[in-house]
Amino acid sequence: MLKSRWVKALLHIALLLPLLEECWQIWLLVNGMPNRLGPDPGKVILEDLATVAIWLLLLGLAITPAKQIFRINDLMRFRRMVGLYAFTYALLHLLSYLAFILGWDFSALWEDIIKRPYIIVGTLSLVILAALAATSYKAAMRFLGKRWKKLHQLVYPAVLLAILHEWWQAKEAFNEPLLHLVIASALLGYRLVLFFNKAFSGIKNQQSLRQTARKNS
Amino acid sequence: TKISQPWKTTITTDESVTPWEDATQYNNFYEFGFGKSDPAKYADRLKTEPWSIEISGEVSKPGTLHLEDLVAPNQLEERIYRFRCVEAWSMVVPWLGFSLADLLKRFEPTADARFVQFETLFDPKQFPAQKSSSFPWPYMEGLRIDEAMNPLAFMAVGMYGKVLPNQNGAPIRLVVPWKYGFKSIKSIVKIRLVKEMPKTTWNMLQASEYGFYANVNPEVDHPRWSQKTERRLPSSLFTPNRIPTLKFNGYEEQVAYLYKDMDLRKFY
Repeated sequence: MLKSRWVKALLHIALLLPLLEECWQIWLLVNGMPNRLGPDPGKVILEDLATVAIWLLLLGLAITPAKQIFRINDLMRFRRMVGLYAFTYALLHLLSYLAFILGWDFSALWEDIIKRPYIIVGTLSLVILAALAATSYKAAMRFLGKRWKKLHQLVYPAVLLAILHEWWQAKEAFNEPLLHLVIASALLGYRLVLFFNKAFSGIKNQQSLRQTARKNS
Repeated sequence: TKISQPWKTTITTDESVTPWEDATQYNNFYEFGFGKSDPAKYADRLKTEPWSIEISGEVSKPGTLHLEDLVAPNQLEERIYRFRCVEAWSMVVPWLGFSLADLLKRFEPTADARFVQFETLFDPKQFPAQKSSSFPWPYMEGLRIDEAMNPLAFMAVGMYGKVLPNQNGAPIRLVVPWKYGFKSIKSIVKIRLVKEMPKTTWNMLQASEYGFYANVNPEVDHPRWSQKTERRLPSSLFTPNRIPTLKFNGYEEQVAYLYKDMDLRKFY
C-alpha cells in the first residue's frame, strides 16, 4: 500500500499544508482581513516555519527506527522527501527572518550575528541541511559512494544544533525545546544503542574466534 | 466597560498610540498561558469583582482594602506611555489610573520602608497556567522606594478610556514606563513595604538575564540579544518598524537621578 503513488501525493499535500496556511494568513493580512498573525506578524510566521522545520527533522530521524522496529521497509521511500521539506521550511524560516524581522537591513544582521550566538548555531545547522539537500539525488549518491552515508550522518548534529538554536533564543518556558530534545535524544539514542551492540558483538565474535582458534591449535 | 469617573490627560506623546486590538490581543501574562494570544483567550476566567488589596509591612497604617476604596480617593489621570518589553518589542498605551506615590503615602511608609514588593493573585482556578509548577507562582515584582515614589510610577485601572481588560492586568496593575515591561506587575493583590531588596520572579528564574532594576537601556544588552533597537507594534510584514531604543525608554530626564551613582552595567 505504501508503494502507491497516491500515498506519496498525499504526503506531499500534508507537508505543503503548513506553508499554504502561512500564505493564506499573509493574504488575509495584506488584504486587511482578520488573521491570526496579530500585531507582530513577521515573528509569528518566523516561529511557525521553525516549528514545522524541527518537527520534520524529527520525523525524518524517526523513519529508520520505525522501519526497523515495525519492519516496514517501504517507509524508506519517504525519508528523502521529508528531509527535503524540512530543509525547505528551515530555508523559508531564514528568509522570513531576513525579510520580516530585519527588513533586509544587513547592518543589523551583522550586529545580530555578533550579539546573538544562537544565530550562528542556527545558520550552521542550515548549512549542513543545505549540503545534504544538495547531495540528496541519486547521481550524488552514486558519485559519493560510501562517503554519502558518512556525509548524511551530519543530519544528527544538524538536528541538535537546530534544537540548541531554538533553546537559546527562548526567553523562558523551555517546554517545547525540551520536548524536541527528548524526542531527538530517543531517536539518536536508538542509533547509539545499535551502534554499540554491533561494536560489542563484533568484539565478542573476535573473542570467540580466538578461543576456537586456540582450542584447535 | 467605560470608566465613569472623569479624568484629565496629564502625560502625552506625539507618537501614534497602538491600536486597542493589538494592545489587548498580544500580551505576556503567563498566568493565562505562555503564548501571546493565551491571555486574551482565557481572560474571562479571571473574576475581578470583588477584589481586595492587602498593604502591609513597614507602614503606619496597614490594611486590606476593597479595590473601590483604594481607587476612590484618587483623581484619575490618563497618561500615554511608551511600553518597552525586554523581548525588544514596544507599544504606546494610554493608561488610566493614579500615581503610585499617592497610594503609598496614604499608608504612611515608615523610615524603614526601603523597598516595595508587589504580588499577583494566586488562584489556579482563574489562572490556568498556575497549575504548572515550572514557574515560581505567585508572580512578584519590586521597586526601590525612591523609584516607587517617582511621579512617573503609575497604578493603572484602565486603558483607552475603558476599564482595564483582564488580559492587561485587571483590575489594577503597576506601570513603570522607564523599565522593561515585566516590572509592571499585573492583577495585584498584595503590596508590602520592606527593608530588604525583595525577591522578584524573573530575577529568581534567571538572575544573569533579568536584573532587579531592569531599566530600559540600549547600552546594556540582554546576554542573548541586543537591546539597541525595538520593533514598535503593530509591525507591518514587509517593512518592520525597527526604531532605536531610548535610554530609560525616553524618560531619562525624569528618572536618571535615581541611578546617578550606579553602574548600570552591573545593576541591570
